[in-house]
Amino acid sequence: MLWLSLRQSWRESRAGPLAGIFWALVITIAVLTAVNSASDRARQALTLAASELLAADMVLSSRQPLAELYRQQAETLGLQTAATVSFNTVVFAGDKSSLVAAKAVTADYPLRGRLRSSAQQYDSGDNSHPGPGNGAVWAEQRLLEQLGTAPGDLLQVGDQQYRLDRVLTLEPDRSGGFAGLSPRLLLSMDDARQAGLLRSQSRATWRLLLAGPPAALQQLAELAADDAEVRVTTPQQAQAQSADAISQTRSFLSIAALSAVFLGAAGMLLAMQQYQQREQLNVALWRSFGVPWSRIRLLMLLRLLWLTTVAAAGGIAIGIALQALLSAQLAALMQVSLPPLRVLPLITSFVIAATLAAGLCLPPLLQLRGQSPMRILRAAPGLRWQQLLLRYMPALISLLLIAWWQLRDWQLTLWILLILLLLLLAMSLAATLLLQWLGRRQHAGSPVWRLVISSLLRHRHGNALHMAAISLALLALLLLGWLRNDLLQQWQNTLQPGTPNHFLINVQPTQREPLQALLQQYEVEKLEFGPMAVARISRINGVPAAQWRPQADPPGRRDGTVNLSWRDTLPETNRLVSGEWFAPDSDQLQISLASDWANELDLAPGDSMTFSVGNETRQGIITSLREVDWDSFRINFFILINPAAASDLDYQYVANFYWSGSGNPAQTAGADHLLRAISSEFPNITVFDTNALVARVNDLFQQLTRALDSLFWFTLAAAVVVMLITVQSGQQIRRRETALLRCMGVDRGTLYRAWWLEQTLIGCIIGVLTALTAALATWWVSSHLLEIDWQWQWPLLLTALLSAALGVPLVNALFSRGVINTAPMRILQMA
Amino acid sequence: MNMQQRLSDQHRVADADTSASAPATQQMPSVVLACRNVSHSVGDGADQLHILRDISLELKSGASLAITGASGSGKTTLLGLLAGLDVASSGHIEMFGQSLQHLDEEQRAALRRNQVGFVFQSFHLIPTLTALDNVLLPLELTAQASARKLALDALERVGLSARLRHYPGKLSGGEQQRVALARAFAGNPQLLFADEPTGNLDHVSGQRIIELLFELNSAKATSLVLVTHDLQLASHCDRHARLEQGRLVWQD
Repeated sequence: MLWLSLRQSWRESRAGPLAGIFWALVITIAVLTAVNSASDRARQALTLAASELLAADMVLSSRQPLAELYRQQAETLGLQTAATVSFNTVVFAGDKSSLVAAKAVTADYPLRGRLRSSAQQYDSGDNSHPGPGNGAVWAEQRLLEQLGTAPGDLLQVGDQQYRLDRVLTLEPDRSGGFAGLSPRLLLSMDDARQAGLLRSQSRATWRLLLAGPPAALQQLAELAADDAEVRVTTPQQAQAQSADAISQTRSFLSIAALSAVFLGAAGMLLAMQQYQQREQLNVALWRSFGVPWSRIRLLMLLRLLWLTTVAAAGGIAIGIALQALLSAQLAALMQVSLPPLRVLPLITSFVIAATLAAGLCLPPLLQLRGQSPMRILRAAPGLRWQQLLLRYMPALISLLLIAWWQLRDWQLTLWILLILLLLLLAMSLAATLLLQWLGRRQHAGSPVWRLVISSLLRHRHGNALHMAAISLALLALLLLGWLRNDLLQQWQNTLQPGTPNHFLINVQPTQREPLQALLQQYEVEKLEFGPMAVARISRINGVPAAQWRPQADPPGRRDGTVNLSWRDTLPETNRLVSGEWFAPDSDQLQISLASDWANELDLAPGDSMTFSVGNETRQGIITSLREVDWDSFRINFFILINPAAASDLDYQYVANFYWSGSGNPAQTAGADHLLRAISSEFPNITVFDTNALVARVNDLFQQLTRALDSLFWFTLAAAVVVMLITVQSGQQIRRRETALLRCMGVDRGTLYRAWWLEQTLIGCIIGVLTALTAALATWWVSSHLLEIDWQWQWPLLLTALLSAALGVPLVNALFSRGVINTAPMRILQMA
Repeated sequence: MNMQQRLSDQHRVADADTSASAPATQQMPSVVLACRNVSHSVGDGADQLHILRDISLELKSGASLAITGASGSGKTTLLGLLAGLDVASSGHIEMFGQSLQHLDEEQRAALRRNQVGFVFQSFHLIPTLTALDNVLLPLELTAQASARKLALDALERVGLSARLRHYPGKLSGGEQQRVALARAFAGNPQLLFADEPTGNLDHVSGQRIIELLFELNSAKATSLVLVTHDLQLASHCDRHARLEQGRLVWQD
């Protein structure tokens, strides 16, 4: 039986519907393998990129020196390690001194990402140098300004003197918050020890940076979990700019892979329909010859097994080749070497192939059991709806299982189910109504019209399946195209040209106006000031703040102090997610919190907070939560209060602006001038130049955009192939009918017109219904999965409508162009 | 030769050796197919349609029976019932001494296995299989020993040794029906059902198929039930009955 089934599969896979199922499966698995493997590698690369923002794959941090045990254990587990200690200290240059945020690092720092530095001032620098060697320190530009020093000068740190070697322009794990930070001084761990800096530090943070295989990291994380002093941070937890973009890209890649599955499923459903019709006859034939059902079933199962195995293996092989191309492109774009291909996506492909075959092909074949052998002598009645349900239910379930596997989100999977059912319902409703309407007009109108109507009525069942399959394919493509546009739009909005690239802190209220005047001379853009006061949270809902959700650790909690700001209107880059914005006429303290910060502390509108400012305490009610776009490079605060309640607070300003002169080599002199002008006129003000950071985030967005586009076009190409298979299948009956009509003397022109009209009608129905469903689907995915703004995309909808209305007849014409012109006899003979 | 044996007519149907309880033994009973008072109808209530009424007949081993009738007279339905492809509404049918009424679909299939052959009007060849494979597959599926040799022999008998590797699409109608004949006779069946075997063929091809059919029938001592509307073809059979308004009218 094994040999027989092998031979039969081989014989049948060379032609006919089995070949259609085979190739649909091969294409699906090829696309799925390519997309999943490439995105798995890209995902790993993106995780590496996220790791850069932590300078490691995982970090253990503590207020005390970390036990040596951790480093030893990490090395035993084969992990790379590096250590840093951050502390505040004072440096001296001649008679000037400045408080610095010092960081002592071992030679291996950073484990992920690179330091950027320059030998000159006011230069964005490069990443060609590892960290400072012994006897040398690196410092940020603003320290040089405060101390009036230049590279090469000597700085006194602790009881030792060090040469200021380079200007530090970017450290990978620099946290997003700037306010309140002193300028960075980077020195080697050995020097810090020698200078006695580490002995006396009571407020230092000791970090052990780790990089290596996830399993080993996990083991170490478990080891540290019991240590109350040690905090474990992973890239996912790190407050990284663009973290959203990376997770959005992941979701998009999952949807792209899922689209490939739906495309393939559409092709397979159609081919299976044909195959089942043919097998009906064969099974009736075998039954009349007395072949037992158990043997027929075994033969069919084995054939399906061979088909799936070979198609999956072939698809995976083609997929590996395609992903190599795709990955090479991604690697070049992302300027990283991608991690090697893993086996898991390949196994996933195989499991998905098996699920598709089992869900889509098995039920129709097993339904043949009830096949009466009389079928061999006369046509059997059509399927009852219960039988149809039995046939297509497993297909739906298997698609949902695959959707869940790809997305790992039941809610989203159920939404997909709902959208699919809605599409099918709308399709059958529209088809029924149209057919009813047409049925009443069957005997009126021109001969062409009558031909069209009779053909539509005759083929309503075949058409319904065809329309569903084409819609499914079109929906997958529309969804992908729509989301791609939304995502790109969103990213472009995030970092438009002119994103603020300078931050100012410590601006005294009296300095605001003269500073503004100075900045205007340099034609800065998007200048924005925000008042800021420092407060301590003393109680939350009446409970001492330290005892409220003691496990939570939002920014500011460790230091005990938070920055407050106030304003009349909601900031441009914020969105109210719950509660009401400040009531204008109340002196009562009203509080608006950033939603991520509030969620960590489990706070909601209605809760109360008490702040200590100076010697007094003030209690207020949380009135709203805001979603804050932390990627916007604008001034943003976790805590905003109403201006009326802030009137007597001591405050200073923070400001940001965009200035095109900085970082641009042609205007280096100008840059020097502005920053020097600020530091000489307002020595207390600290300026942060974030050009390098903005450029890096911009770079990342561009890489993501290209990765997304490659996958989109790739899926589109595969979709076109599957659509061609879909549209042209089932043309056999049409050819025969056309030939018959030709035999009966219907002229070629009438046939052409009727045929085009019918196909265009079908195309239009598909186009309209699919476009509407896609709009609903994308709205949901945008707002719930990707959390981006949804926009009505007329051009895309119009393209979908036109491509269905024109594409369906055109592709049909392509595959049956010979039909009307060939001698009818030949077609009848072929049939 | 059994060819010369004649069927008893419907008034002499109750031969003693056709009792329903007779077991199917190694020795083939002389009556291979018997049918008593068979009626068949479809639909129910006002829509009920009586296709066959009170049909009785008997076919002895090696004998041939032609059933003719107008289109829609119920010829094909009768053939299906006699072959056990469907179950009659009432009456009694025995094949090889086994009552079909008491067997389920699987048991009836087991009864047909290796003992019954079919030839159809529209050939029913599998388009994706070569001529040889079309003959081979049923033999393999019913686990016949030396299937390949049987298939090659059968195709040689119908004169298609040179076209073993051809697909049905590349064969003429006559050639396709010859492949179907080879398929039907390859397993050396005791009983052959033929449904309008020349219905889709031109006169010359039809003639050739008829000759071949009776040649094989005679050489292999097969009993034959032939449904046709071709009276000339019917005249080749030992007996000839015509279906009129659901009843059998014997023509000899």
